[in-house]
Amino acid sequence: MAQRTRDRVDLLQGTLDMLILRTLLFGPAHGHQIGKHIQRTTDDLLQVQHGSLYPALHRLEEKGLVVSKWETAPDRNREFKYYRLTPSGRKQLRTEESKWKRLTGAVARIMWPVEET
Amino acid sequence: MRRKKRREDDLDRELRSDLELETEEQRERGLSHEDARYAAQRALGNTLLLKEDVRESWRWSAFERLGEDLRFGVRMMLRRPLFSCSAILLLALVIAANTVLFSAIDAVWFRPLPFRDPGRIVAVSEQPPRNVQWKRQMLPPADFLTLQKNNHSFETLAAAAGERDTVLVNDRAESVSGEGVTADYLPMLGIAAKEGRTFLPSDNPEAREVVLSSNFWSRVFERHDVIGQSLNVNSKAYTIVGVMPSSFTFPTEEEGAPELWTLMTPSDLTHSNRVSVVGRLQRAITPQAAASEAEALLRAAHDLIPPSDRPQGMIVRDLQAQRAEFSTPMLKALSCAVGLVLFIACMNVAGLLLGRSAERRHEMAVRYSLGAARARVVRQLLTENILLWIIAGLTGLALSVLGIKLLVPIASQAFVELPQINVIGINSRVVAHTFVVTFVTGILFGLVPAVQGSRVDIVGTLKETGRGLMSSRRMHYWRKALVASEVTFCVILLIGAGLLLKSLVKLTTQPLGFRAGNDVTFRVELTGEGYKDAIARNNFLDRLLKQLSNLPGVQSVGATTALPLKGTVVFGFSILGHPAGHNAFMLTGNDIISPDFFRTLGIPLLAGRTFTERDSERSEQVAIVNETLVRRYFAHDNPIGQRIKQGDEKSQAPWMTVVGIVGDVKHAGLDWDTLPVIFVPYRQAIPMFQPLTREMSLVVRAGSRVSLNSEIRATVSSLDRNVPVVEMEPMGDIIAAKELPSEFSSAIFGGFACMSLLLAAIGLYAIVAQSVLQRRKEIGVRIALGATPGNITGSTMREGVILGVIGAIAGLVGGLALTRLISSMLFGVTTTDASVFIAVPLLLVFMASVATLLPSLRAALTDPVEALRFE
Repeated sequence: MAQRTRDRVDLLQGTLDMLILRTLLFGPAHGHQIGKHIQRTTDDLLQVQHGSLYPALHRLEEKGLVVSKWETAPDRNREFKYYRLTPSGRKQLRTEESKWKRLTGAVARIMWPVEET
Repeated sequence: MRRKKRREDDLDRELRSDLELETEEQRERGLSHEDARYAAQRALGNTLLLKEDVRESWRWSAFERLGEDLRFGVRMMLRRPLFSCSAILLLALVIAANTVLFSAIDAVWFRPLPFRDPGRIVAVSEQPPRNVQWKRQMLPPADFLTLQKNNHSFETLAAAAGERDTVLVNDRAESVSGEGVTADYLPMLGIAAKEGRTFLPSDNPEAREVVLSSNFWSRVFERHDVIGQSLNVNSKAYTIVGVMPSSFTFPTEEEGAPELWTLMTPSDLTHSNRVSVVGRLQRAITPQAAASEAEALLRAAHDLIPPSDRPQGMIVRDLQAQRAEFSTPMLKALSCAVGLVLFIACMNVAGLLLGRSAERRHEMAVRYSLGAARARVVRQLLTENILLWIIAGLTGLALSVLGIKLLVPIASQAFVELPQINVIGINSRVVAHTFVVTFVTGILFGLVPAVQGSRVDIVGTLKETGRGLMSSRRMHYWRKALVASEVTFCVILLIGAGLLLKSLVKLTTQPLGFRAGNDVTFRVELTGEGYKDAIARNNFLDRLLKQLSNLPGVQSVGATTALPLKGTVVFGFSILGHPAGHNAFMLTGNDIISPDFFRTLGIPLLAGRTFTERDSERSEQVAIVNETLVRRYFAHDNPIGQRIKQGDEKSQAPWMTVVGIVGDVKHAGLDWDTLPVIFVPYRQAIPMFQPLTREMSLVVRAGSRVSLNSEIRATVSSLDRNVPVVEMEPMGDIIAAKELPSEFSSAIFGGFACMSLLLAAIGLYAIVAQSVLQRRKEIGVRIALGATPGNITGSTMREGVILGVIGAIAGLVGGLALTRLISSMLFGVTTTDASVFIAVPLLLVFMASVATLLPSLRAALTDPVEALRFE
């Protein structure tokens, strides 16, 4: 399996789904693009394993949060399987996002408590 | 299926396009074509596992996976057909045994009796006094009348008395089993007649009305309309008022299903010896409350009886429990035995599966190296194992249908007291039970081999090209534990079987007190109009005995009201001059006999004289007593010449002079204690006992084996063609029928014990054989270094024999705890019989030595050169 270097961070369970949905907010994308986008945006800190990415995509599709379609890429003469968000996917993203905010907020309060003044 | 294929293709295409893109990107970074491809492949990772994970997210995949596992399981089974078939057959056999037994238990315990609101129908009886045993649980009619009149616990309290009735069918006398019932008996059960009506509570008990069983109706009247017609019963004309449905069973069927019911008149009731009492409880009254009320009501009556002969209290319990009483110990013991055999068989199969998983280690290692998760492998193996159990369960269910067909006819003879035997069959409850048993044992015993089989040292196994020894120690430990438990259960079964076998030997070799040679017994029923008077019956008997003894080939003829082994009528008696307080209701059997009875059956006369022709109505009243009566009541006096009477001292019965003492005879069950018995010549039977002579049993002793049956029938018929001859059978058959239950139970237990012994032997053999195979190299080295064959054999045998000894010790402890269950089935043997408890472990250790000797000898013959080259 692909090696992991020390400075890379493993994703929290369930977080990957949220990141995929967030990525698709920019518009339809195929699997390779999604993976690369997450990796690039985090300066290679988050490396998405294919072994997690594709099962996650299929799981999201099964839940009806994304739909997929084979389409020709605009810049090349080849078909890719493009995923795009559904309305319920958008809704799910908003819920996940607010949950995540509350979670990180809570964790932050423990890790870096506001010093008393 | 097509949808799935499309999805698979789609996934392949998606991953391929990802791979291509990655390759392109890597090439743009300047890698060679080849290196770029590898880098891309690495980035993609383990595609097999990835696909498996993706499939997981597809709906239905759990079921599809189960289907795949099952298909694979079937393929694995087919690859080793002999192994699979023998495992399935073994499991199927024990599951079938389990199902057959449960169907019997279901019929006895769980299937509601076919009455309206059967939970409130109870049987009322008294607990027998400490010094007597009796099987038919009945009450004296006076007690019944007291209860019926005064109780507040029962909606209805009804009585019945079984009798043989002589029915005239097409001018031929035929004896049928009938029940006299009080008028409210049948209405209380709440089962409507099939034709006509049952009796009504308001029926005049003197009315001569008869209700027929469906069986009798079809047999005699071929299902024609008979309501309102007349039927001649005991020489009286009865009106047929109804026919019961074929599903109807009478609450008391110890004597076989009744064929007709008549009304009991008040005088019938008071003149019967004992009646069986059944009642319907008031709502919200418990059986216990009813029992204590009954006890209170009867206390005054019972106080007249001396404490030792007094009933121990009243029993009121629901009919189902009452009817199950005699079969319950047997069913419990059998359940235990069948359960043990089931576990032994399951452990055997689990052991075999463990052995097999050693062979499949390579396959497992390959699975892991391809990325399979541990849980996935366990699930696969467990599915395979449970599949084995399920096939066995279905086969077992099919076998049990055959088994029931085969066993019910035998069991119905061996256990006359097993109620509902004719309704034993497979129903939804039985099927559910079988499935639960199959699944629970399948999961329980399939899990250990599955978990152990999934424990593989991947690298070691793959390097060693197959036989990895790394993790087999743990597996070996499990197999040893299984084999030791098998031996334990086997010892328990062997102890049970040993005790029963020893009882059987004791039972069948005990002296019966009489000789059974070339003799035939039968009964004449003097119930017709011409025999109302006892004198008329006595005259008929005189002539019959004379004519029979004149038949060629007949040595002697005896008549009695109580054939040996067939039970007797128990009543109180008193001895003249015995201290007061000990003279009322000492219980004895009462047999009314002909003078030649003792000579015919070879019952020894110990003192005094037997009866002669001169002991008649007009001569002095005489009696002969048996040894037990003398031992119990005349410990210090010579009984000859003493005077005794039936009933208490103030009873109407005349005093009788004891003129002789005879040896004890088994009067009822082979396992029953002998009762004190008073014998009286039939000419001198007191009025109270005279009704007994309506059914006289005769014993004809012939000089040779030539059958006299037709001559006997002709003789009876020549005297009176309306007198039926019933139950004609050799004395030997009566004895054989009494021995049958013990033979049956020891055969069943013996069979189970042998089977378990064989299984335990196979288990021990397999474990030693495998350990010899695994230690082949080591053994080779030892032989090369000079170990003698004896050293080698000893060391390998030790393993198996130690397991045998451990199992045997645990089994002895278990045996001590469990043999209580069969205590009621034992005769002349205690549950801790030393010889059995010593013989069984010895047998076990012997078996363990034999089973381990063979593989150990093979070990000793190992060729060191070959062994060292091996692997």
